[in-house]
Amino acid sequence: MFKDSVPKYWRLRDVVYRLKYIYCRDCGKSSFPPRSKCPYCGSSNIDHRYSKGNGVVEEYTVMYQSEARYQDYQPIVFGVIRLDEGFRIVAPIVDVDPNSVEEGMRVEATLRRVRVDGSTGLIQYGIKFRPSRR
Amino acid sequence: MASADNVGILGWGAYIPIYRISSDEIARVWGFDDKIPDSIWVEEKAVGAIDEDTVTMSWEASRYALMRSGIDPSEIGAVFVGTESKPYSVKPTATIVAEALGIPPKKLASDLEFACRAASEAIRISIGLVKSQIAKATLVIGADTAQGAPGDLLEFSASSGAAAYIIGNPNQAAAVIVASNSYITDTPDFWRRDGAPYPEHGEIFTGEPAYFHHIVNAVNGLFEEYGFTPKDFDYAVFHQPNGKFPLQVGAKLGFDREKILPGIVTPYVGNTYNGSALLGLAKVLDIAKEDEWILVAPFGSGAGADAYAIRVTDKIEEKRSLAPTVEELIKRKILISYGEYTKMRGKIRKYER
Ligand SMILES: [Zn+2]
Repeated sequence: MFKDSVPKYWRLRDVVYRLKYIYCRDCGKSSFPPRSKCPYCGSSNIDHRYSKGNGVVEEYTVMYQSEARYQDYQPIVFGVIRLDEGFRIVAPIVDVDPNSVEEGMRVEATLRRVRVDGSTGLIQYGIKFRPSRR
Repeated sequence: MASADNVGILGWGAYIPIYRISSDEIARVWGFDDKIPDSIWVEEKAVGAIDEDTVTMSWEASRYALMRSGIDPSEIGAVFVGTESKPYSVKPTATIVAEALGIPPKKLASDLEFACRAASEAIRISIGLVKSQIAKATLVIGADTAQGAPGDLLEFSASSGAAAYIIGNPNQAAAVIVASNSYITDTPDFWRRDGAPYPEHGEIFTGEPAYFHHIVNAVNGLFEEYGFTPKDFDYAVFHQPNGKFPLQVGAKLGFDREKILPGIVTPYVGNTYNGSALLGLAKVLDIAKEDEWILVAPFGSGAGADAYAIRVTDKIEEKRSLAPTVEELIKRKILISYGEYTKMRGKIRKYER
């Protein structure tokens, strides 16, 4: 039986549901996850923004063995995805045959179950990606 | 003529999971007569992936509805999810979906249950909220991961999918709900007890006294009150527990097959329950032209039906291309085996280790 942190999931809901990121008004770079200072230049002159969820696969790997709670999702394709807003994120790519994933493939955000805490705990949702439809 | 509704459909969105299981596969596994799929006209049904549920499919359909609506999420004053497959027994689906869509806290939000017509009830509630200016616009979602017990005939049709509508100002609308009517009784045609994983149905009781009686009365009530006849409509969309019932109820009401077929979805994706008639309406909105009229009649067990008279406006063309059409979503598919289907829909009993 797993017991995930309820406050942590709640605190991060803007980040995991809507890909909230920071945009630095000094150096013009975007980064994820959001924090109080730009990781590139240290500036606090930042905006909080939400990604539209469209991006491209830069690298990927296929996981055939994972911890027990993720076994139902296997095989899991993990991608390093560069969002159109400029930042990168590591996230699962779903609705796809692992053999047909390629670097440079366009992907779009989809809200999915990320973790299910046993049979009585929270269902945690978050953004995964799938091949773009248009 | 009674007071008209005159409330707009600002945007519509559909979502159908990518996975399909064929009726032939289900018949093969359970040893059913292979003529059954043809007799009920269900060729394939959509299967939600293992990480999909009513929350995630509601989000997908709503994103598309918002894209077409042209309004900001902050203008949504109410979010309703009509479903009979809530991920939580206690904790609203609507709050999660609204938060994930960026709809701010100043709103109403709830899940409605009335078998397959809860989302339709939400449309009628929305008409009241918008006309009374309590809400500028509302988001109505019909979504289900419908449950059919393994080996039950229901398993041929019970599927996964969602449809979403933004209801609001008729002047910005792709289509206007001109009038509506409801017909509701206590009829025990289909039910699922609290805590039970699969529903029960009253077998032959589901047809004549339930589906046909309620839809015919809801539609005839609308016709009598507002003076419509079948000739006034270019399309007729009915709840679709299978492919045959909508054609049969349409014939009873005096509609030609040609007016019903454009809104038929169940033979290709199964019965998405709260999605069913509303996906059919979305499919018609994907092709309808200015000044065409659409009759929509959802049905839910328990039992009740609604009837809507909807007129298409000149804004439909510009909105149509802003999101995928139902036809595009139907065509985008990956066929799976019965084994994969049981895993995806949680029909395999696993023990926690
Ligand atoms: Zn910076």
